[in-house]
Amino acid sequence: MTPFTNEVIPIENLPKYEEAETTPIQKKYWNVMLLKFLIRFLFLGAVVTGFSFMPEIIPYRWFLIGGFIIVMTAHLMLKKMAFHKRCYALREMDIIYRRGLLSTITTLIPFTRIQHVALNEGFIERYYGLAQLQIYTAGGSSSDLKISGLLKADAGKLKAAIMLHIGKRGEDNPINEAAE
Amino acid sequence: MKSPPKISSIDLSIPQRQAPMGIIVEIIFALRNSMKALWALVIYWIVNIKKFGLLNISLGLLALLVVISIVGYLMYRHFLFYIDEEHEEFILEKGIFNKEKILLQFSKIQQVNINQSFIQRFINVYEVEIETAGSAKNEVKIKAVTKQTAEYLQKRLLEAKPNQVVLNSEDSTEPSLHETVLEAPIKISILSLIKIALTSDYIKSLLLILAFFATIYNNLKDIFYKETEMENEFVEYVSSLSGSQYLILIMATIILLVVLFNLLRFLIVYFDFTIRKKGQSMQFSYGLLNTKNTTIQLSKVQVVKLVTNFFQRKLNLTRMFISQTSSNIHSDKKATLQLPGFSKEEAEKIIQLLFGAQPIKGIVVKPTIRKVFASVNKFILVPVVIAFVFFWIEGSWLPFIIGLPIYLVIVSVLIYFSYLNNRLYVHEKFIILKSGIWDIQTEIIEPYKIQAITTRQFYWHEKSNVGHVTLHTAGGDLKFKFGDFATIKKYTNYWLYQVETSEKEWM
Repeated sequence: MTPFTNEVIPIENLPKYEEAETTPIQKKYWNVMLLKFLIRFLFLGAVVTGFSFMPEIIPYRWFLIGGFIIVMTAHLMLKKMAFHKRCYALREMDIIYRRGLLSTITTLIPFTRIQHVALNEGFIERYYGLAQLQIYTAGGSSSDLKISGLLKADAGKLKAAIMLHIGKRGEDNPINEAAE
Repeated sequence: MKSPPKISSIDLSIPQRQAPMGIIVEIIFALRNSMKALWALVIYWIVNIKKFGLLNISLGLLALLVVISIVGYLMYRHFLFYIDEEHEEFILEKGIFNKEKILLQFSKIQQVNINQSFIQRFINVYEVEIETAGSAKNEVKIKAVTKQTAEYLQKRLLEAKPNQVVLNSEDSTEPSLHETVLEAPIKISILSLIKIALTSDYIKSLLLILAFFATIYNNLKDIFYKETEMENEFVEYVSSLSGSQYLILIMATIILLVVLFNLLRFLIVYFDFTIRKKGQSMQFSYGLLNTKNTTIQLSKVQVVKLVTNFFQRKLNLTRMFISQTSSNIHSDKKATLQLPGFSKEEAEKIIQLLFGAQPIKGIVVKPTIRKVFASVNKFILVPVVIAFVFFWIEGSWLPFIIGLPIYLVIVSVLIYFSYLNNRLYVHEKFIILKSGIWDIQTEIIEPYKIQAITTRQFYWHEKSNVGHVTLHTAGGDLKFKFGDFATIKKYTNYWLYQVETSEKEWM
């Protein structure tokens, strides 16, 4: 039996998640976002242009097209600003992901509570050698993490690191990939 | 014939039929189902007895009964259930022409109910109902098994580890399932039931009554379409009353009906509500005509929620909801077990069984005054400005001048109470979140059941250091908004520490 200790742990001395050193996601992921934005812009632009040929709308067509361009530009600028906010940190016992422009959202998932991890490569991402790390917990969709813009090798390492932690518990876990 | 099977000799790895008496239950169910479609026809025959002749009608009814009986018998023959020990699955096959095979993984099973309707009680068989996490579209019900089989199934399906049921009866060092009824069962007093019946769920009763009368009326109208004169008489009689008399009569009748119906419904459904703790599971049994017996695993309980309002508090009454592990808590209603009301003392006893201790309200965390500001913005500033612009365009100021003070007073009171009632209590073993305006809810979780934590801060809250926190559990999210962000961060670190050092399994 291990000797019983029961010392008071001062909350103030616990490791602080807000001071963990974070890594920003890959800069070149912005290209992916830009490309996705362009595709959406062209598609919506075609719809708006189509609308502007309707007889009732012709007098207002330049307002419509101008408004559309202004909204999309603002959208893009906000996206760019929010892009720089995305960062993550891997600690000994948990993973931290921070994002958000108007509000800073920080999600913390202890490794012991991760159900499974997955890697996802989109069509455009693959071209840039990037991947998305998906982390699922039992807390439902509101607590699942999807971290985009990781180098594929990095994402693989992260996944392996997390799997290692899950694996420790996973020995008596019947749902084990290795068992199949 | 074999002797009746003992618990240990039940072998569910071989496909089983229901108990022989199940034939009768299946026939009655088939009869009931076909009556839903055919009762109008039968009444039509009986009403027009002269036209068809008694003999023809009797023969017709007999033929119907024979066909339905054959269908019921075939249903019984084709209904098989068994356990796949290797894959830890419960398998059910049914259907005469359209074969259906349902596979249930043990780990997905949430609760197993043993029910007995009036008929089932009469012929001494039990119904086993299996509820699963996730998409609960497939209703899994075995309509007629013996008591032994039902209880064995309930235990076997809830104890996910193989052979545990068998092992327990042999291994005397382990507490056996049959011996572990340690605590005395908790019984809910009739007084509590009457109180809860008088203070809740009126809408459901109202809808049930309306649905009942609507069905009857529609069906009768279809058959007796000639007799619209009767309807006219009624309309004439009613319209002879003055408007207000008419209204009062109708209202009084409806209110009286709903109150009585509600009272009866609660007393019959929840009669003799008893809670027992058996090993690591908890059993709720109740019912006068139809008895229900629901068993849940304690380890799957994630969030316990108590709800009470002003009147119920005065009557010493609280409602209770138990959230269990679910793959999708937001859409999966079955994951939350709704119990009727209890007195404070009764609720305390149940909580004692659920947690093994009384939850302690630790250090209190209040929301900051920003919560009030945010509510004022949302419910006073924005609506008043919109109303102002609206009435300005309309040019009529009177409704605005009269309405504004009333609105302000009501909304201010609501905002005040929503602030006053919103508290977070942090204790080493419990996190308690209180919130609400009229219905005040108290959510209780244990820190090691947290799955993930999200903190959130809007940039205009940075200066005043205010922020939000969400605790994600497998039984739903707990949200505390507009707290002091330094405090939130401090406790977030503390909760993470607790989760990461905890050796308890969250499920």
